[in-house]
Amino acid sequence: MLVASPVLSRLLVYPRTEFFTELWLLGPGHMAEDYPYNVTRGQNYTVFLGVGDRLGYCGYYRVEVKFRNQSQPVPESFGPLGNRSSSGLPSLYSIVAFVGDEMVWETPLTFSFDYSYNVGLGQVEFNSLTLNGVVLDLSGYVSGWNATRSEFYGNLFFETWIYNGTTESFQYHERFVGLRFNMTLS
Amino acid sequence: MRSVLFWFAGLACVLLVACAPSLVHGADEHDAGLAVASAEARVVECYNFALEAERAGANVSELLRVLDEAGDLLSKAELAYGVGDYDGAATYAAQCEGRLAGFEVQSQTLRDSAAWQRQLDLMVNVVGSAAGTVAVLVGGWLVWRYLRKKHGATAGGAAA
Repeated sequence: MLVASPVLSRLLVYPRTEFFTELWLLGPGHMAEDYPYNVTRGQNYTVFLGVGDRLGYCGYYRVEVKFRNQSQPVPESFGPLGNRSSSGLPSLYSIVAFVGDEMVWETPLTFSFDYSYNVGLGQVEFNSLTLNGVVLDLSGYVSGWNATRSEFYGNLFFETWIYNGTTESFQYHERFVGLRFNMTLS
Repeated sequence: MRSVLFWFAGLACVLLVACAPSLVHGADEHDAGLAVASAEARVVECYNFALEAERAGANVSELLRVLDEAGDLLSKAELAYGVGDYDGAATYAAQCEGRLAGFEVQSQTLRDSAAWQRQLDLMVNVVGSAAGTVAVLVGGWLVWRYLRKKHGATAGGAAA
């Protein structure tokens, strides 16, 4: 048995049956806590975005950075994989990630918002989002006051798209993570 | 004759002034679009090289690190193109392609090395192990036969 063990180890391998991708967002302490919620204009916040590849091959991912207010479409969270759709909102920026099989990729994301309060309309009007030093245009994005939750709602979220070698295009990988904010006026 | 010459000189000046902005700015929308598309295609091509190397069993961490850097530059090129910064887009696209220079050779070297290592591993572990197993079985059988013969002879002698 001892001599035969190298051969047996090749013959008696339990096949992998589950192939998937992990996506996560961690807070500033690299833990799943202390996520920024009350956001101040011009203040920097840091979170960690990670992708784990369990597909059996290295994946070419694009994490699309999107922003929405309460009335804009959110990606589908429910239903079986294969039927979920992306939000349909335009992507502000693509974060490219190449992740080897059984490997993880992680990057810190430091961001800040520039916005102003329109007293007449009672709404927050966004100017830009600075993400890792890259300025992204948010003109046209507004957020009204939500009296129920007492907040000016903002939702920064990240959708994963993966390159499909057969179709030679990117397709929505049906996973997203996001951060919910209250845009404070201080 | 002189008036015709002046007319052509004037026309040349007008054309020069009209073309000046594009000469100063370098890349226009079309050029920048082509540069970004070329960088996108190059990244996909290199990704396929990395896939091949990975399938051969190579450690592709270094290749993926290079691809990540190139991908970051490609994202910036696409963003610059999207906001009409065509010079920036062309520059980032060129940097992206530059980062991937020599990628094919590097990935092929890793792939070939991994294929050789795999073959060696197969020879040592599988063939060696299989031969060892056969040798142990045959050796055991020969020892068993020898002992049986010896034991049989001793038993026969004792019986006689």
